[in-house]
Amino acid sequence: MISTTLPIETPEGITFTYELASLSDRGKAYAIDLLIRGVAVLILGVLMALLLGPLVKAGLGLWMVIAFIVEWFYYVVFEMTMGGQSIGKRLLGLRVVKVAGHPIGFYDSVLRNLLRAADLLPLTYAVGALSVLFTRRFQRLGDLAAGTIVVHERKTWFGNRAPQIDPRLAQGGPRGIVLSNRERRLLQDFVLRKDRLHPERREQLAEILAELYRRRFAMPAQGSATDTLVKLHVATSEERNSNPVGRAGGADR
Amino acid sequence: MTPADFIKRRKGDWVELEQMVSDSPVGRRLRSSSDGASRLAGLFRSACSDLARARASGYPDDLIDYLNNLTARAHNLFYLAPPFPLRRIWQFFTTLFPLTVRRNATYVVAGLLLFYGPMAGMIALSAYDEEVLYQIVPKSMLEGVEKMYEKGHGEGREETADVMMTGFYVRNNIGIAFQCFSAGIFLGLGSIIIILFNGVLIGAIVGFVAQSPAGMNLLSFIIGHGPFELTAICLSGAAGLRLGFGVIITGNRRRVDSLRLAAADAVRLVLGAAALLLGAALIEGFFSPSGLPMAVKFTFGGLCTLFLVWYLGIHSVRVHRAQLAIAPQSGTPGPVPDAPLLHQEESTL
Repeated sequence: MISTTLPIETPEGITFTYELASLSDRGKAYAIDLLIRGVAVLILGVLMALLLGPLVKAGLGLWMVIAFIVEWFYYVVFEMTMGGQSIGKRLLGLRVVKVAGHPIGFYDSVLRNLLRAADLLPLTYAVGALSVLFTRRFQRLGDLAAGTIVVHERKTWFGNRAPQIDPRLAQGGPRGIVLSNRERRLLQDFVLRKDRLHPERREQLAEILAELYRRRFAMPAQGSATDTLVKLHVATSEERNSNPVGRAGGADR
Repeated sequence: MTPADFIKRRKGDWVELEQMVSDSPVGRRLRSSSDGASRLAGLFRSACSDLARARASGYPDDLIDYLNNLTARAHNLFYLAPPFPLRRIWQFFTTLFPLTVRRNATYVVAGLLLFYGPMAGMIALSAYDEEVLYQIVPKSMLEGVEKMYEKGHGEGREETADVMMTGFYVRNNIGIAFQCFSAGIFLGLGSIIIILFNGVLIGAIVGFVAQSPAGMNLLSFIIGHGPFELTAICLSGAAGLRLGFGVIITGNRRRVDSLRLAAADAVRLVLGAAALLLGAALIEGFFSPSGLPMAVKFTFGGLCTLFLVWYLGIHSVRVHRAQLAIAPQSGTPGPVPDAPLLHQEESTL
């Protein structure tokens, strides 16, 4: 199955998931960094020319050293000082971490960034992009060699994912039904996604799902399948919010 | 406990942890305070158990997501990579780099042969049959180089030009070394092509110009930085070969793990090569074009060669033996990427 998340098990014995960064987000971050690098090299070049007037040749030499450092070590410097982020990555909320989930070290950073020279072949990062598309953890060649991944850090707050629910459906749902965690999550996933589906397709999918719930809880078939599922969702989440969850939620398996 | 009770009871800790892991100055100050680290540890662990609890009790998904993202960010800070003290740089040159060279002796020798072999061949060819030489490298190009060295370096040149050329050598040569290294990931082929190409070209130029009146000018120019520069290109090629063969020859590892293991060695090789090239650029910028007598330049070049033979040949073998004496049970002492213990490889040094 294609998955954009990567589970990490911590020494604390719990598992959390990282969301792997998409190719487009990485591309955007790269574009920002490219712009910053270009502007930095340009400004420093002008500065050298102005400050070192008569010694212009020496200034040119220094400028070439700076250009070299910016070309090859811009990412290393930032990834080391900003905990696996460059400026572009920070703006996009991306971070480089090891595949096992901990922060990258100096050699990891050098490795993944030197290998940009291979990833950007033949121009426009074609090799790197293909590698990202064809590897399970979205790694370009530099990531594969260094054992790193790029993850999307999300700062979410809870309580802001309430789905749009038609007020007419908020009443009259079935009473006294207790769902297991998986049944509830399946229902919730559907309700959260329903508005992004084409109505006919949505009804087709809902039909499949609703049939399962109807059979499980012996509910009569009435109205559209989508409405049935939404009603069930509303009713069961009301129940959950007023009752203790610990035991009433039932076993997950 | 209902989700609402749970949130009410735990929210204070989450907000505090959120603040500590933030990138803001406030977060940084909180983390670096005297009891900040232990507070962070406590908050991180309790957030971990909150996440486990929220999952087990089937609390709302957005709450689980929130806790998941919070723990992920805290985890990253909590298991921070160790700092990189300056002492490590010294250790790199005295121990780690020579050790890596010795451990990858096969690749280093292959890199040297792939470069110096064609170079010697082209020099021989230029003495034996110039017509064939021109088939490989255009005559006009060789004559262009010859013209550059007609004048000699009797009077040296102005210092600002020295600085400029040094900057150029740093950017150009180290850039080539890095490209030569990264091209190696394509099964080593990229590195082989780049070293062969350079060996052939430099061999042709040296062979051709050496026979002309400008010959001594060229030789006295390149003898100073040549040993460092050319050996470094060979080393970066060796690093590329190591990378490429890590993909081909996997032993009993998965291909990606084999690559990772190879890359850990390869990156050390190429960083060592870069340091040699930095030295070479300084020599090439300031010493090689100076007006010093040729005898001085040739002596210097000889000393550099001797140093490299000692450093890469003798010293690396000694360091390797000493390393084996410390850890005899682990056949080949080597870096272990992603070992459960963080950065184990450095701790053995």
